[in-house]
Amino acid sequence: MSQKIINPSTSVAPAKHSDSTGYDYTIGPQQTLPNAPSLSKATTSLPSVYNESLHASARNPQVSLAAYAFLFQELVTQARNASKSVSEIELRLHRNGYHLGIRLLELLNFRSSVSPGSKNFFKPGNSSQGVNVASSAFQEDSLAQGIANMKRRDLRMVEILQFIHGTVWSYLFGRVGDDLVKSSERENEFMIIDNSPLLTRFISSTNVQCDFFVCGIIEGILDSASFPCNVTAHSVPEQNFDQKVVFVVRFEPQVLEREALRS
Amino acid sequence: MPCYFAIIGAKDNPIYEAEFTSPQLNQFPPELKELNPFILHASLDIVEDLQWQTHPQAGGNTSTSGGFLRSRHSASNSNCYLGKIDHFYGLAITAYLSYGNMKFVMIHSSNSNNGAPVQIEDGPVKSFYQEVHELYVKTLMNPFYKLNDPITSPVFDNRVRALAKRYLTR
Repeated sequence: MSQKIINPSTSVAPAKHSDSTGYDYTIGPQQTLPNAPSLSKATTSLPSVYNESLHASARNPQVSLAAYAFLFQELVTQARNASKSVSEIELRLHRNGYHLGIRLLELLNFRSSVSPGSKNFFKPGNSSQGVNVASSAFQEDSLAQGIANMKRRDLRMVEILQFIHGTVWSYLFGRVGDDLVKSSERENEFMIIDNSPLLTRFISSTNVQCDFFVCGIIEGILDSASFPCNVTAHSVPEQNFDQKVVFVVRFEPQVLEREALRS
Repeated sequence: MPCYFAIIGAKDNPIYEAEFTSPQLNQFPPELKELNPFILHASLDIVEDLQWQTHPQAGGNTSTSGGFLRSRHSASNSNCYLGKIDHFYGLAITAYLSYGNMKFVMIHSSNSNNGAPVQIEDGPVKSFYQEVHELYVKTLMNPFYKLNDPITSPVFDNRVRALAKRYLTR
């Protein structure tokens, strides 16, 4: 192994090669920069997440609803077969969504920092010819170069909820949420209302609340943005919208405390 | 100028660290080298304080712009790059926060040994952080990567070092 990798000092995995120069606290981080150009060609040419573009139009942003419904149905079935109780099914769906949420927070915020006029903007027509464009843009695929100012981090409960209600909802479901309401009874309670949830459109008459998947997404976003909270879904059928779902977000007391201190 | 860079996770655990030096330039003195992680972690308190500041003056104290320009600057509301946040015996510490509150922190040392305080050029440092942020988002997009896990990918390491060469150690 000619390439020296600095392992983070917390790395739990022990060095696999006895000759590898992992992190040694007695030496400290070792210099590897002079070796950097001698990076083996194999590592750079391999397909890697780092060679892909994060730009929204680098790939087709639309997914067939039928295919998605089928995938979601399989997800629910798998959760159902593995669980003993209704709440366990919901917990599993919740957990699946959570991992989506922590990624969406970073990705969508990063994307909205990119101004559409930047020089790295992919024209939608180019994305279909895929491979050539991607490989020629190999070194120039960095979007960050075109960013003058990153989007502001959301620091208040209302701001981050508006981000979910607006940006996240339109990314996931193609439209903004129907309403964002603050509870009149409790300070820490907010409600995101969706009159016709897209994911559970084809699911009816069940006592399992499949919208817990979306709850997981919301909680993942809020948790990784340091707004610890608890999200639950309640279906509230109405005359015009018989599938209306209310997502109730309950923030932990420390979030309120922080906001009171910093306002 | 030699730099020591680390990404600190949400649980104050380092998930990536690297030292950027070039052979022809000055390097970290060996006796200080192992102090770098301590110096860096000591500044995390300040990062956490600035993290929730609603009106940040990012880079405001290092920029030479007047009051009017500065107020316009903070109106642009970018609070990811925190600018120079701390200093320690002539070393300067800059920080950057990602949307998932990952802390990107870096120690800058000066080229000369006379103990003169380091001058941070906000432009290239900010560009460096933004590019590393993009690499981090790409890492996170990998479904096999878990939040707060150490980043062990050699490709990530190489990319970050190439960026450091372009922006920092010139």
